[in-house]
Amino acid sequence: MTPLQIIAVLDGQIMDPKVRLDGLLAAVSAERLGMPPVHASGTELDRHLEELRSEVAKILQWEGRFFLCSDPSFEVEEWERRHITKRFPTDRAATQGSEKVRRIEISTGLSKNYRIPARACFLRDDRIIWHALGEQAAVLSALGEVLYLGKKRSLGLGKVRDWKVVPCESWAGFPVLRDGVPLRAVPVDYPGVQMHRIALDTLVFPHWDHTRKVPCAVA
Amino acid sequence: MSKTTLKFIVEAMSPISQAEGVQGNHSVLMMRKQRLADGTIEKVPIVSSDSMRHGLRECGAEICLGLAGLLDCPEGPQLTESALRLLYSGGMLTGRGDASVIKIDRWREVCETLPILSLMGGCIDAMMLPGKLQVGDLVLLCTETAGESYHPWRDQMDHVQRVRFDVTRDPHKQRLLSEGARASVDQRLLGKETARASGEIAAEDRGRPMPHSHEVICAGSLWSWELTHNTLTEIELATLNLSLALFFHSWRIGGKRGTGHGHIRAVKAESVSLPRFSELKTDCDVSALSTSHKTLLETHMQARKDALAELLAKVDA
Repeated sequence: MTPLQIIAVLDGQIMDPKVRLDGLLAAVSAERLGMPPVHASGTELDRHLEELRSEVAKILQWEGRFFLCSDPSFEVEEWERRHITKRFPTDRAATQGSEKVRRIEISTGLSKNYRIPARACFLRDDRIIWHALGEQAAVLSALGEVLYLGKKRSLGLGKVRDWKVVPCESWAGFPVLRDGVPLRAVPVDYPGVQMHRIALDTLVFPHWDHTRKVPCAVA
Repeated sequence: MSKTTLKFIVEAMSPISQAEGVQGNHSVLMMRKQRLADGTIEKVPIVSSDSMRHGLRECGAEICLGLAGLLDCPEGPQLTESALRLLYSGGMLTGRGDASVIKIDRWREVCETLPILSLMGGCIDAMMLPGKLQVGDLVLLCTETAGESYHPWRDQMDHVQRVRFDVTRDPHKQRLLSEGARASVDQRLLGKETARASGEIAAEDRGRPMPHSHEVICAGSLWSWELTHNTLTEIELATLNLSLALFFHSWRIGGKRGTGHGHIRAVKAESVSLPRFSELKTDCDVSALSTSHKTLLETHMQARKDALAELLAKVDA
């Protein structure tokens, strides 16, 4: 495993660019292995997670409790407000609905029409950067399958124009600490952590599962 | 794993009007920030990807119902409110059942019975199904987005004013009114006349119709559109291609459809000299969609007609 700098070059706006590299590689591996959606729960999820961890460990260095990769670093250049809309298909209800569909409540309940404000952003230089210890070719091959990042990918947000995976110089604590400051959530007893606060966070995927959060040292 | 990007150049056959809001009685064109070639960020006209996805979803749902033969009966498919939500707006998490559990068997069954759902995603039986399609905004080709060979977007924009005439002021129409309604109209007009005489209503307001205005992008303008999909089955691919064919054939994008706005056609990408499209990977020629796709999907849906009817009758979405 070599010290790597991984750069996603974006094409346009992205919503929620805080994408964890290990989670991203797990998603790619799940798709490669033909697994059902990773948010399948219960015993099946734990079995799949074990399989995914061993698969991702072939690409990224496994520390024992987490993968050796940093959180993404980026700078937002400009924000834009968007709206997520949903409307009940009243015209179709009139022509295709059964006779039981007589009144549609569109101001409340399940058929409520809504328009929720959300925001997407342009990143400075259209870049997200991670640092990791990993296999360069394997990382590039896996990330090459990722065409969109962040939320609302179905709306074309977070489109990736290019991936760059290049060897880089390492430093003390690479890639999770710099001058004692965590570049990602690390265990509180992780050697070398100096300036930090303690917060609940996940150490390894699935990062969306809040029940797996543990006290971690974060910047 | 196969990932395919379909890139279209779309020509507006009639003006395109998608509004992002109103200012008084003026409706403002939908704009979105784009990074330009020089690195700056500027707003340019678009038709939102939400709107384009919705069009594809409606066309796909129509195709699935139609090919299964559920649109043939004179009384229509007799859909429940849940089924309508599922088919035409992607369904909702209803709160019934355990949303944290994905029932894989049920998920596979739904994807097979209703291929448009596996393509576009949606919520069904307290499960969120991820889609397989990423749809971009329809972006106007203009100087700002595509270079000097195109007109600036401001040159392609038109400002249209319309009026809505008060029909009760037309003497010919007044003759159609009932006695009571005519008396009421006379009363209103008399009241207005009195108010004008007393100076409560300004003289220039006399006889003013109800003006409203909107912005459109002119007919003949060119737009770019991009879709990406990954790992589609043969049935999903057939559904996508037929949905696209129906979309370009009959769907109208944006607003003012009642007055003929939003008519588009796909222009074959290679025939347009545009550097952005030189990296074109797959060209989808919608005019040449083979009938094999229709036959394939029709056979698939016909075999699952009863299952689809049952799914739509009992679905919780």
